[in-house]
Amino acid sequence: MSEASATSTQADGAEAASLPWLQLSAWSVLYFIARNIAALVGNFWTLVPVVYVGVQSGAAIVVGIVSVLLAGIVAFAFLQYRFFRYRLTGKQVEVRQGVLSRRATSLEFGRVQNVNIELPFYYRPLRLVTLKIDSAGSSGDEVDLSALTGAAAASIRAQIVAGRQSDVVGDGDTTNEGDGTGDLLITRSNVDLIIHGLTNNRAWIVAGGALALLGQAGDRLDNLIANQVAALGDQATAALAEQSLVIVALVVVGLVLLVVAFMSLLSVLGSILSYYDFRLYGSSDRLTVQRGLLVRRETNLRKSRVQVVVSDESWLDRAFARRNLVYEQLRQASGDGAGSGRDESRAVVPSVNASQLLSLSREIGPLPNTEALTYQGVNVRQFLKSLLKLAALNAAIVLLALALGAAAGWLVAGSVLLWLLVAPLCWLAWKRWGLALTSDYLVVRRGIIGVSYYTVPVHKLQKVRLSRSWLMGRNDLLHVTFTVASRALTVPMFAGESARLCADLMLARVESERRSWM
Amino acid sequence: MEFLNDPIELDNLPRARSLPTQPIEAAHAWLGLGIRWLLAAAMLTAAFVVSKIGLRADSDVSLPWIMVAVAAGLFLLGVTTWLHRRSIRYGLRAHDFLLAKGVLWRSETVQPLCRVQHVQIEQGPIEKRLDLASLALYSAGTGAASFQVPGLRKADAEQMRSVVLAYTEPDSA
Repeated sequence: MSEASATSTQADGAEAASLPWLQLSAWSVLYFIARNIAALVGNFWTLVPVVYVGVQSGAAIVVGIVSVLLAGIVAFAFLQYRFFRYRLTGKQVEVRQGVLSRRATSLEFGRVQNVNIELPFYYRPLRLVTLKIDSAGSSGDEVDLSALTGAAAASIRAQIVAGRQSDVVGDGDTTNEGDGTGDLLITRSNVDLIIHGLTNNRAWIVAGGALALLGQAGDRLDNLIANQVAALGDQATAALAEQSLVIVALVVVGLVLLVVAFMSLLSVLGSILSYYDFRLYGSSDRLTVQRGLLVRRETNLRKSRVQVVVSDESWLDRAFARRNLVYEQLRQASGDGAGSGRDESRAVVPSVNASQLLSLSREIGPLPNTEALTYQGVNVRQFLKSLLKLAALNAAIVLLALALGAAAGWLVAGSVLLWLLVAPLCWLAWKRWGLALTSDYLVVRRGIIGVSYYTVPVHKLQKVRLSRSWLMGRNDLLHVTFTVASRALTVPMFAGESARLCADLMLARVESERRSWM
Repeated sequence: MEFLNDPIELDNLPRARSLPTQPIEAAHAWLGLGIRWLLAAAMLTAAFVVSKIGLRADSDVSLPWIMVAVAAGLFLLGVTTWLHRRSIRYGLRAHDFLLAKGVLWRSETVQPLCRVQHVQIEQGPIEKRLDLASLALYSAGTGAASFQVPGLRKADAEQMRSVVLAYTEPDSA
């Protein structure tokens, strides 16, 4: 693939050529079937004709088509299994796969970012696992080895980890601890996960698939639902017209509460599905996360590859005094879709309290206590700018309402309500903005009601950008953007002299030390 | 872990702002202007032709005016492109690359050379005629990771590329 791996293949070619190619267990057919079905459902529009034909001409045809499709998937999965070969040389894992077009991948251990062991539900009774090897290079370089026994997967992972460590000379202590996952740092109980589900919207985990299906269904279904809803709406308005305003308000509030309750339930369900029996282990150089109810996932990340430590607090988190801790690694420029669930570039520790967050964040290094630092805030013009935007929005709404023939009284009431609700939030958002630079870490604070902190080791800075509009120039204000491998952090309307000083200090650190960001 | 907290001598801190920068080739700005004005002229001609010969029988008289408006837009776009490209300045220090651009919205980006993953020189067919090239530096990170300096003489671009490569080589070994 890349030049680096090509040359190294030639270098140890003589040794590697003698190694035999291995085949996966026949059970891997299950994995290929699951992957094909997931791919098919992911591209749901390909199924639209089937649904359409089915609706047109009865269930028998649907059963026929579905069984043909399934038979095709199974046959294809069998071929995929037959054509899949892999081997591990001392330095890299090589895979040859593909039925119609052959594909050869060689992934050097040094370029491996994560090695994850997954226990999908269909392998539960068999006690088999899928080993997922993520590359630090381009996406599409990942290698999945399915239907391995737990011991085999652990041994392959140990080989990769050992290979990686021998690759990096003088990178911290080189104690090779084999497969040991290290000390148990934290677990999350079901209560924690319920709190996590309530405070963070994890409903998409459950609803994502369902919504995708609904959203792409044909006009027929749309019309059907629209007609039903319209009929229901007519009945409801007719019934409500006879009631007093209080009753109407109560019904609306009740409906909203119902929707919120339903979404919360979904969210709690999603939280438990993805984080059930959460365990975080830490060794001298690695963190290991185990989680999941239906699909048990084990994610490994190297501490040295963490780019940003995020303390994320939503407004409901604030009520429960919890935060989410996120370890962010290199994010690939073009991933295979955010919703694919394959985003192993970040590890989330759900709903921890402040002291847990501090001790867990210090697994990465001597991070400052972000909540105790003093921050330099941003200029008040940031607040004024958001008020101006609000005014523009308000004007647009008023004009639209006037065009639709709304009464002046309602417009005034609506505008006042909008300002009373949103202006304080703008003020809060402005107060939250802040930047602190310690000797080793840059911390950016932001948020509206909940406060989030982004802690970046100074030596991991990739580049820095200072920008301003012509109005900002007159007051010497700058937007500062710090780019690291996992994200870009922007602080708006910052005092120009401080921004330049901060940028120059960080650049001097990066350029004089020239430490690796990996 | 060894902890050092040396006092930082702010007077000796290298400041990016004091770095002398130089503009890119003016030909790049004129090229941008030329292409857009040519398109505008073509659009005007087309509008003229349409108004003379075609569609008069239909009531669709607004079509030529839409084309004239598009031509005016292209004309203005040519001017702003020229202004924007004339504002681009770059500077190379021992350890980093600075790029400043923008007229009303100005930005300055500093790319440390030790973070550059690969370098690319790009040259379109017309740029080749004018001996222009653009130099792109890629670092790790999200989509906005590229750092592009357009409108360089090909030889200059190649020279800067070799500087960047020479810098990154001992590091990556």
